[in-house]
Amino acid sequence: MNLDPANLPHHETVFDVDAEKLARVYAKAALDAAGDQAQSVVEDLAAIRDEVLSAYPQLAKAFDSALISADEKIGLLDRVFGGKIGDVSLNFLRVLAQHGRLGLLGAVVQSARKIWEERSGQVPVDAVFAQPTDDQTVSQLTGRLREVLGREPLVSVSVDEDLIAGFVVRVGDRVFDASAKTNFELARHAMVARAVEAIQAHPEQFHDSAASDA
Amino acid sequence: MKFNSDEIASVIQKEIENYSAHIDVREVGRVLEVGDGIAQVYGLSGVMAGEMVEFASGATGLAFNLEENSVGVIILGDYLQINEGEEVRSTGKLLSVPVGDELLGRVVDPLGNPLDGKGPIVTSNRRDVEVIATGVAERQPVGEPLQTGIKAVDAMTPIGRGQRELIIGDRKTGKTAIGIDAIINQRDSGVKCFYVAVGQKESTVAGVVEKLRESGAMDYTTVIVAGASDPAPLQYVAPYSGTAMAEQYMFNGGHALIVYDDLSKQAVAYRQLSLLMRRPPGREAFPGDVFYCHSRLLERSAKLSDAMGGGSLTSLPIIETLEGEVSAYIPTNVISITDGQIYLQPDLFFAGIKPAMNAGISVSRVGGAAQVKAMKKVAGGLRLDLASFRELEAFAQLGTELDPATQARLDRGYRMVELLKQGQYKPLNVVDQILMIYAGTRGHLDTVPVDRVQEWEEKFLPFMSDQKSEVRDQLAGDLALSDELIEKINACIGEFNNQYGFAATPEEQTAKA
Repeated sequence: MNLDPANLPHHETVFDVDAEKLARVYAKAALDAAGDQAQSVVEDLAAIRDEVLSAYPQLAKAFDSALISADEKIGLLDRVFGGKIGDVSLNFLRVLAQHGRLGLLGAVVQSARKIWEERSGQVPVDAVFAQPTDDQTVSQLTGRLREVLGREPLVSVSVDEDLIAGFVVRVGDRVFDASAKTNFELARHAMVARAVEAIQAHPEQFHDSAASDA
Repeated sequence: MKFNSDEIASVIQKEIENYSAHIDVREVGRVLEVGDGIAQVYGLSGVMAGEMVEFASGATGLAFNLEENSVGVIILGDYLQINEGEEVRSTGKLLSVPVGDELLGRVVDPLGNPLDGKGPIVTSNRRDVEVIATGVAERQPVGEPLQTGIKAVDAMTPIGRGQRELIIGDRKTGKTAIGIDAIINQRDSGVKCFYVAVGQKESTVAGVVEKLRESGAMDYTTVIVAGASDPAPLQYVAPYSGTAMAEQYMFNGGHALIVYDDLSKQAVAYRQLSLLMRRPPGREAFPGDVFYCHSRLLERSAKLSDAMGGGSLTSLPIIETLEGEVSAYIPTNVISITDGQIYLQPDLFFAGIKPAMNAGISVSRVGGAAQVKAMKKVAGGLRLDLASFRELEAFAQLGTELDPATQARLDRGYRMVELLKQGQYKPLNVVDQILMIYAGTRGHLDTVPVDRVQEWEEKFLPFMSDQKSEVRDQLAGDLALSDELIEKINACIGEFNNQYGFAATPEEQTAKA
């Protein structure tokens, strides 16, 4: 099978847990250093990942390479990004280069976004509907979530017809499932459990006398 | 059983009428990687250690490792159906198994699912698989015997209810046979039995089940199987779930016996899990807590205090050694945890001495208190005598001239060894055991040729139950030997020897004098 390296399939669950752990440390430090400019740092870093690194995978390789010295990388960063991004962001990239962690940039961006959202009282929410929905339903949902969560939900909507009807909302590790699919499944379990319970309590009631005679 | 479908339909109808849609709130994670019976899961931030989790494809797992940003899960079941990215939900419950009388006579997997094709196990009684053993205040010393029906064991290393007696030996030395005989012998004792097969060939287990069924032992026995082809997590968890099933009887005032066959394989399964989970390896690459893995399991065997109902759980863990190496890691661990061990040796086994128990290093640390009085009286010095006989026998092989006293000890020894031989699946009643060992230790067999000792036993026991049943009944009633009863037994033996031609000839008697 031939895979196009520039267009690899992206999986949410394919990442290195150890790298993520390291990245979180750097991301937290960057945001703390940025103070009021945290949002611009996050945006700068996201722009570098989305607009530069994905467009020029060779650059990402160079960042990751141990053959290129830290000084050369810092020079490269200054030439490419100097003046285009904030000082704090550039300094942060220099520190990453100095520590030989420039290869973690992707993971750092992800962690930084997560930490920033948390600090600014926002929370990413995935909402999956069984059918395409109108804006009114979504805003209704957003309003309700704001009340329940006490934070500003950043809702991203998608459609999955397998749910049959209803919707599923995912906030962090918590899933609120109001889909017909899950309800049917729960009902099935409840029916089986109830039937077993009833058979256990009164087995004689269920015994088919005609069948046992035969 | 046939069910009336109309009745079932009415139950379901009621369920539908009472049904109300509601939002299902759950905590989830996603599978990062899966393989070899374990999965790394991202998310599940509120999961407890040891909590049961459910994979979307139906398998259940246990949260085993809680790391900073992922959870290591051991998968109990088919891990080949699980995909990367799949949703995993926490259940808020610990692993539990069905318990109760419905399990008797069944063959189940470590989660309590039936494997014998005899229909579902309909019970709502469940017990947690992992519980902390009862404490000091809830226990009492072992004082009631658990008869295994094996002469050598009941005489020399008696087992009490609530004891943990290790069966240890190389492969093919009859370890399982002792456990199976002990189970078969519980037919009339009311003790419920559990046989946990860990990492064994399915064919071997099928053979054991068939044997138990033939001898009628399946009526009160549950077999828990985690075969060699089952994933390591199931093999690891099998002894704990078997114990949970057995504890149901103990905590309700009943008595249970559990055979773990064998804990070496469980330790190997646990080692595999721990290494895959990247826990640091220690001696023989076992993880640091492999001792705790066995100690917390065996500590659950207990004799409960009268306030707790007086129930008991006796366990017979089995450990396989390599080339008789008892000082390996796992054997020393389990020896130190248990209340004694029955050591089986291949050279004895191949010499035709079955059970191949080495009397010198087999001990029972607490069972003596539980031995019936009569047995204690007749078998008192038997173990040490037999051990010193082995030494003497080795010395006698040098061909030196022996004085008559030594020769007499040797002769007695040969007869005792012959007497303690016992066929597989032929457990003996304790009364018969007492009679035989009485005859042996008090010199009544000294005139019987060594090769006819077994024949003597075969004829003497029916003789006692058919012709001298009043003497046998008296012994069975008291289970103690009064001087008067001893006289009667001596008379019976004399009569038997005359009747069946085992009496010493006049020449032998003069030679003896």
